[in-house]
Amino acid sequence: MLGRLAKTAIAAALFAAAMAALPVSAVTPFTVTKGAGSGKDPVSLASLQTSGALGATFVNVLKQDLDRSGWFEIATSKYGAGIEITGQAVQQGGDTLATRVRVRWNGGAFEWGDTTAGTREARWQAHRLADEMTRRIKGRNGIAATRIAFVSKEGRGGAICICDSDGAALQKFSTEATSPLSPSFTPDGSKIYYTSFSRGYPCIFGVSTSGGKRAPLANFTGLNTGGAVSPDGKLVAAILSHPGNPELFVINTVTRKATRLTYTKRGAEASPCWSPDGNQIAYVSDEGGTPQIYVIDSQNKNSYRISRNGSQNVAPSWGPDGRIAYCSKQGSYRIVVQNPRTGEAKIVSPEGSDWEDPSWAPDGRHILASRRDGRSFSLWVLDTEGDTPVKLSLPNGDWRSPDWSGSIR
Amino acid sequence: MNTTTLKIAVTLVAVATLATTGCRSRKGNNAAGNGYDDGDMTFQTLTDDETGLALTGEPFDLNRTPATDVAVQPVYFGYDSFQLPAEEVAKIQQAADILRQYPSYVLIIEGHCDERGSNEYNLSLGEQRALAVRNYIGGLGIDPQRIQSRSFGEERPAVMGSGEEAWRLNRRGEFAFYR
Repeated sequence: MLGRLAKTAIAAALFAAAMAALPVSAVTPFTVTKGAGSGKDPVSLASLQTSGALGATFVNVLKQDLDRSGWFEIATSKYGAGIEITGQAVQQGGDTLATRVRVRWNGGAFEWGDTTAGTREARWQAHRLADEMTRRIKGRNGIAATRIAFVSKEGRGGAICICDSDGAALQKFSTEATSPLSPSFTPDGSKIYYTSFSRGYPCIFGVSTSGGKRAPLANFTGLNTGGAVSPDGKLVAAILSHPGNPELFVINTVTRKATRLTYTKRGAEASPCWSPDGNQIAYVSDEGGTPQIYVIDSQNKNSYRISRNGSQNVAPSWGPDGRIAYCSKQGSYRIVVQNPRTGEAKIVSPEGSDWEDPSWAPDGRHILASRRDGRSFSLWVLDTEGDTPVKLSLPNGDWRSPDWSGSIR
Repeated sequence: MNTTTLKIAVTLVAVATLATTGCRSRKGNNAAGNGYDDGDMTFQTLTDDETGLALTGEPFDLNRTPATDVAVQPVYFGYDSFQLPAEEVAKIQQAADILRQYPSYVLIIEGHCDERGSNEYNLSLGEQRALAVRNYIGGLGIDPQRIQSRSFGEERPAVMGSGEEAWRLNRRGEFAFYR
């Protein structure tokens, strides 16, 4: 997808050696880093040498990525900065960027290198280095080397869009007379599933993010929607109404066999998403009279309701550390984060606006959500640890239903 | 939830073959040019012995033409509800009468929602509304296999704009007859 040049042997060897020397520490669930807003680690790039437009792009994007990560801030001076990046990012003839850097902090160091062609790849070098720093220094997955899929609402119609984590490389790849719905990445980010009315009925299609033909996954008569891929990539949770009522199913992507999970004659299901271990699915059901968040075991099919407050609770997203984010109608629409085991819940969206459609970032800290601005929506990154929301940098438009991919290599 | 019912086999019964008809343009949506070639898209069919109300067969509009000689006004619903209001039932009886009068006709009920709340939940709610109408007609003695549902959620409002009146007119079930 990224059309990368092969890394040089030297860079690859350096990278491999560094990876072997400093194993990535495990991500601890429910770790809360105190004082994120004031406790960011200063990073100095003062001794990083660059050349050419690509070198400048690399450094600018790296600074923005480190800032957006929530863990770091760019130091104004290298003195007193706990983390220092040295080395060089050099444009070599044509449009090649060769990067060889050393990242040093109190407690470790690693070397990193990459050689790629083109501006887009220079940006992705920065994304990958930022994420490597987050992994090595903070023991967390990064959010820079990721992509975002969402819906562009255009009058009565709409389109599916994809962009990089910082809003760059915006692509619109499916414009339809009735707006398509709910794009959802596969775990490796290589493909998305979404709901399209292009055949008259809502059907689930899968398509590679690099383009090409799309293929129907579920096109049973009636409703086909909510396609969400399991962590192992083998199953797609979906809502089908074929039995005569909307119900939650799991579809095997290879055999196409559909297994029914819910039996709610007086209720409709919607918006399935998988637990990180792939054993459970969170979804919306209105079998109790109003739409609420439920969790079901995909094997024994036992289900229970987790949302307690709010007249409506919809659009769940199950985060990598086990917490579930969802949209809760409590006066306005708020984004709530809940630990399904303890029931502990908190509101993470600012007051005064309607916030919908949360999607966890792979760091288990940030959440992408849509904010209503009058008749349209914009996309924002919320921080569960208290940093100010950041608007995703996109052209003017009506952007909805974001899905944040996992880390992309 | 009754766990004994969970063992009911949900079987892929038939894959309707459209290969002979090839890739046809339908409903004008693809005319918007989404850039995709779906190839021969065959509709899958599931059945479920439990309800007897399973949707089966191909979507009616694949091989039929709209019956423009008959029409029924839309059924309107309450906020976040798929209950049929008592004052709307006469319209549904009218639709049942048409199906009785024209035994070769079939019906697609299109379920719609107002713009508030989750698009995804609204898609399910719209389907629930369409199926509530279908079930009612089935209860009047019409073969449910002559009736299919189709939800557009909040994606195809009858009235653009916000406010109680627009929302009321958008929470609806529309009747599309085919011959």
